[in-house]
Amino acid sequence: MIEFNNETLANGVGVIRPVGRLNMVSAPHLGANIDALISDGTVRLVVDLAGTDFIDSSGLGALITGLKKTRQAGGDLRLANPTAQITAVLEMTNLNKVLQPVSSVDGAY
Amino acid sequence: MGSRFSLRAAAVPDSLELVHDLLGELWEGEPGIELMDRIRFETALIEVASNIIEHSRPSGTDPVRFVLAVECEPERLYAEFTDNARPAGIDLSRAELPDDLFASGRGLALAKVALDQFSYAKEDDGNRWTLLCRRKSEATAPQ
Repeated sequence: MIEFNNETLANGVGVIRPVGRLNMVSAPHLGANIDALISDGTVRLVVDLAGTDFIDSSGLGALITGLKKTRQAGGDLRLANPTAQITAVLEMTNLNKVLQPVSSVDGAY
Repeated sequence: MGSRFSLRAAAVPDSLELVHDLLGELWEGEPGIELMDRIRFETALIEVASNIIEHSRPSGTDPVRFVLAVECEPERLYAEFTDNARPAGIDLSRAELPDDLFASGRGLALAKVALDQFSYAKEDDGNRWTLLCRRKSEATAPQ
């Protein structure tokens, strides 16, 4: 099971916090959370991965789709606080260039 | 020396949790496995399990099921998936990472990068995948 603890910061940045595993079951929920924020006009997003234990290629796909959608809307999607498995998967797939993680939510923008 | 775990499960998304649980038992029973070895192995196993769950088609009237057998030995982590699905005929040599902004098509390529040996074979009554991760800790441990 996965939970999303989201908030919008005072500077208008939307923070999505997936808590659990991002896989073929939960990745569509991440996509839906991203879509909902974009629909509300929140296009600068941070996905805070501190509570995300595991990611697979479906989770990566949801992040890539979110990145493209936010950029098309004039914003961006950035990652914060990746756990060791996520950092390793970003490196193994060479996605650490387009989804370059930052060390904190506050430092994301 | 070594330990072995196995499970038999339906090829449905909820079974991914069973794969994570089995590996959780392995990590608990074998606390000396390096974090990067655990990450590479678990990432690859979940990609293969997801592929079976998402793409398998029944070969007859029986629903698709898979058996996962995992072995931990001092120098390697080894897993074998067998299933009763229609033979898929997958060519792993064609599993390459897509361009950065493609949202899909990364699963088997990621497993390939994560593992030291990865094979797929079409069998008379299903499919067989083998996954091997050499434990880096053995080669790099101080003497």
